[in-house]
Amino acid sequence: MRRRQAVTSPFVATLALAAAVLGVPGVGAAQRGHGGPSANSLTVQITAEPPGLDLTATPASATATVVFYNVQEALVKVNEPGQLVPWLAERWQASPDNLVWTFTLRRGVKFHNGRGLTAEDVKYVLERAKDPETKHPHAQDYEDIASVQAKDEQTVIITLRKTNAMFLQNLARQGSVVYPREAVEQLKAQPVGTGPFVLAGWERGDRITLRRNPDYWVKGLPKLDQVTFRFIPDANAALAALRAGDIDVLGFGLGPESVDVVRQQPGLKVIVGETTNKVILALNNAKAPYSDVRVRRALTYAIDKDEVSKGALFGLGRVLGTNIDPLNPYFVDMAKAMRHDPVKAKTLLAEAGYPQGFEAVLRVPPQYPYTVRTGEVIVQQLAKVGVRVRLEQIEWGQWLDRVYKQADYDMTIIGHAEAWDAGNYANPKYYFRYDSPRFQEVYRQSESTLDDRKRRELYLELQKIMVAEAPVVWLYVYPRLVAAKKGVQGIWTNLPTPSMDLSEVSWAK
Amino acid sequence: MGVRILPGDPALLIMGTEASPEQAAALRRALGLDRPMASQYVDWLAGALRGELGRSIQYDVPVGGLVLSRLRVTAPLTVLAALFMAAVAVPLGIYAATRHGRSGDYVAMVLSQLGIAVPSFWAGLLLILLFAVRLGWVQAGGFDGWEGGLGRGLRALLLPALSLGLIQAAILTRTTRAAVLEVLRSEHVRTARAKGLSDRVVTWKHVLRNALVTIVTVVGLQLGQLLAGSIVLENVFYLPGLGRLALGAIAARDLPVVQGVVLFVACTIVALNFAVDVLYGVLDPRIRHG
Amino acid sequence: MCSIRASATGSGRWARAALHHHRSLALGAALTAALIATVLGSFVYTPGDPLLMDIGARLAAPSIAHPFGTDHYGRDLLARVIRGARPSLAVGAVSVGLALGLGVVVGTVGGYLGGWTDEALMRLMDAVYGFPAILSALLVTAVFGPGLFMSMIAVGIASVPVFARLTRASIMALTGQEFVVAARALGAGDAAIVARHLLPNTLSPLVVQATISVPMAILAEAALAYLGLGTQPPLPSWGLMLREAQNFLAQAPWFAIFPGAAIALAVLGFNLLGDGLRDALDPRGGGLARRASARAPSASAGRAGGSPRRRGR
Repeated sequence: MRRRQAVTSPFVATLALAAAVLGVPGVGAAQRGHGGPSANSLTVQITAEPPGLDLTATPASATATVVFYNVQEALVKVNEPGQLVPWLAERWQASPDNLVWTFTLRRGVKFHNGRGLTAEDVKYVLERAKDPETKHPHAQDYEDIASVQAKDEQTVIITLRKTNAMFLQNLARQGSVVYPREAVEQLKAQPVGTGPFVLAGWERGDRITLRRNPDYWVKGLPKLDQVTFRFIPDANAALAALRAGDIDVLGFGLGPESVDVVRQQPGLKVIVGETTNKVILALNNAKAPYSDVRVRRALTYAIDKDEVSKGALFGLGRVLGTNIDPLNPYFVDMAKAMRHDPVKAKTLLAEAGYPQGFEAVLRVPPQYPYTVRTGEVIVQQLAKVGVRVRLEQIEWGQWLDRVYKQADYDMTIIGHAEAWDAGNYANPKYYFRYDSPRFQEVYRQSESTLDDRKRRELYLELQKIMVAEAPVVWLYVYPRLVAAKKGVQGIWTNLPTPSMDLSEVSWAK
Repeated sequence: MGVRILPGDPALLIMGTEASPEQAAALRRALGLDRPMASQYVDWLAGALRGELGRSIQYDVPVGGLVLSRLRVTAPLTVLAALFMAAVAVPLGIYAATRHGRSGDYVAMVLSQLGIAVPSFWAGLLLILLFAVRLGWVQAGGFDGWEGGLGRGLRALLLPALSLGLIQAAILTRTTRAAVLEVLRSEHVRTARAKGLSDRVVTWKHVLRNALVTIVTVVGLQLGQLLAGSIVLENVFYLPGLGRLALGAIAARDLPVVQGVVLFVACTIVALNFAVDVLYGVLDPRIRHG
Repeated sequence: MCSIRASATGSGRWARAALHHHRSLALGAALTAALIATVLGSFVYTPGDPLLMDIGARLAAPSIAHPFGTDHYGRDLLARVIRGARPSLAVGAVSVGLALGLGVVVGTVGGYLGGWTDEALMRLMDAVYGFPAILSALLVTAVFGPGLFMSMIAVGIASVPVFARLTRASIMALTGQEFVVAARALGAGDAAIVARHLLPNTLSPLVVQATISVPMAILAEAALAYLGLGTQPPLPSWGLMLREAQNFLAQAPWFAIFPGAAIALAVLGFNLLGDGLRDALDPRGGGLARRASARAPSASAGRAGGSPRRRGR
């Protein structure tokens, strides 16, 4: 039609522009990471981009997900059932007084740069972790190490200042990975380790690619040739990408509301398991009225944890009574110890001098959507006992600065993902500002006792104190939610440690 | 920054064709339409000659590179939306003008009123609901990159461009209709018809040629709005474009990135206006820049 | 296939046009009145509690108990949509009021004084005007924090240039006129001239612009709330509800439909009302030719000056 002709002339220019723009990024260039089963590669979604890949500099779980177990390894490993098993250390022995530990390193383990692993490397790594200059995020884990000695190429002798029940566990944490000293400077952007994968590339804001380490010390592993981690923070976008086939695994982004939707999709499967991520309503114990134990107990009674789990997680989160999670061997189920009882809550508040309730600000980081959802439900519940809460969403960096570092808050909601972190409650400087000599004493004892039965008793005692003093309100354990294409095998169901071990993941034949 | 006049004088369009000449002249002066082009472009250049854009605090990469990489999504999206907008609005507007006063016109006007009232992000959600959730023809958002192929990339941009384009089309329809009507009534047409040329010839040659100027102006201006609209739509469809970069940078207090995006958007809008002016001159030989 | 029939059957079209105008004005007025009534009524009574959670009944389809269904916490959506009208109207009214006030001041100062002051002010207005409203709103909320109040400020600031330019244009047009010269000759001071002679005559275009800016403000507020920068949870706002609804499109499509429809209806109402008012306030009365060109301004023709552009959609 001639009419169209006259109208299209201005659009020739636009079309040319469009073609130019579309042509620039190299249309038809080589495919990246779309291999799937045929290319023996896997694309995994994670929610947050790691703020650096140096596990000795940042406690971020995003870093652990990419690097820990995949690129770097430690002396001792936590396996899927939650046991401590040999890793880079083949075996170990403790002296009768449990103060001198001798580790025998595996032979034939090579770093990605070709050099073999020696005891000197372990010594370097541990001493550097202790060094205050390094500013290791978990420096306190290595406090009790008095000295490290490299007896020979394969033997490391660690002497402790005093007995520490968490010693082995600490050596299995993400901050204890072993790396070659010559690679210290590049840890942030190009970490070197002994793991089954080598870092191949990092496109900021988009993805990290790992490729298989041909010299990995376990024959036959890894099963995959390539792994790509893509950062997709939106649960919906991630789900859309999974359904479209652009990614193979939704590592951490599956929202609880989508579990049923995914289950109904042919070709996709859902993995629901346990983690050590304890979501809590933290209270500022240094600030009135939270300094009063009656107020804290009142808040615990005011909250209906079942409703919170249903409301925020569609019922997928297991309700908690204390900080000890179900994957911990010393776990005792105390969820029912303080059941939902708004009448009791009001009574306690009146006793404490707040018959009309009080006002509070609940700060949450919307970067983690479950904190917002949980917050909304809690606001409603607390309103029923007269506690008028205003929900304030603050950005993650602000949260870390104001809430975590400066303890400038009334209440907040966050998940603590590390295992065995009851020690946070024994630390009066932690952002809870909870200072209980009784708790600290029992905890100290539990750290130094190596007798399992005695430790169990001590942990029971700790849990009872937690219930009685209610420094925070423990809500639920965030579930392990993974969505993946049906052919992907080998993904851990439970996550006893924040990581994503991909060494044994493969495509079904 | 000015827009050249005649026909489809913006000042007249604003005040109505019966505005008195002095009022129109005053308005024109007020709108800066009489300022010389030269001074305007000097301003633009001076702004663009700023220093380096700096490095992003979050990602520790140059801001310029970040902005460019996000453009790979935002630019095609904006262009695609513009194409949809024009492809729907121009024919519809012409149709409505020629059916002026009859049912075709009213239908078009009602549709455009609805289109103006609908928020673009709601339109996006509805489109997702229909095409992704119910029908499953396209995915519900997300953008995988152009490396997977031109087709895949375009499919990902299809729904967002539609949402953005259709809503803006509502506005453009009305402008087109008005412009065409304007010209239909003008002397040219009457003269041409008096000369005995057939109806069709009259339409194609004169009406469109003259109405086109206004239409093109508005399209050019709406490109700026499309850019703004894409910011919100990037959130609906989870597209890694400029808008999400800006939002993320603001949330993370990544000032260099925020500044970079703001500067870029401002420059683009200036450039767009410039392009419109040039196009204006090309399309209507009566307008020559002194 | 199209043809042109210039002025053949005039009267039939005239009648239909007039009827059309009255119908749209009536519809516009009705919708706007309904919106205002809803907001005012919500202070007294809402059918259902917009904040009451009932997790067991979450994402329920529309029913007698919940005519619009429930959201992901089991809250009644009808109540939330009603309550959500408040931020929309509030932002519409306050931001436009703010913009009107500031804009008139700026425009009057510039238009009356002219020269340097005028140039400077108009440059400033240009800068604000040319910049996409949504981006400037983002910046405002970034610096001062999100929330309803900040939305009002952000949207208000973005709307100032339009009113400023309109006022300035009117002032400048009128300043040279005879009655002003006469007033000056009689010894009236500047301020008096402005207040008594100039401002009252600028009223009409300003009112018309207001009816255009209010729906735009409503749309802007919805967009900001959708991005999470407006009203904060748990209070409802239509844009915020759409944000929440997006996660549940598969399970509860009605959740996304009702708030969006509310926005569209509110905006439509104001737009129709504005069109109708424009006709009514025009001193030359109705007429097809007038209608045609009067439609153009609402369709955002020329860029500079008082043209009502769609912002930040």
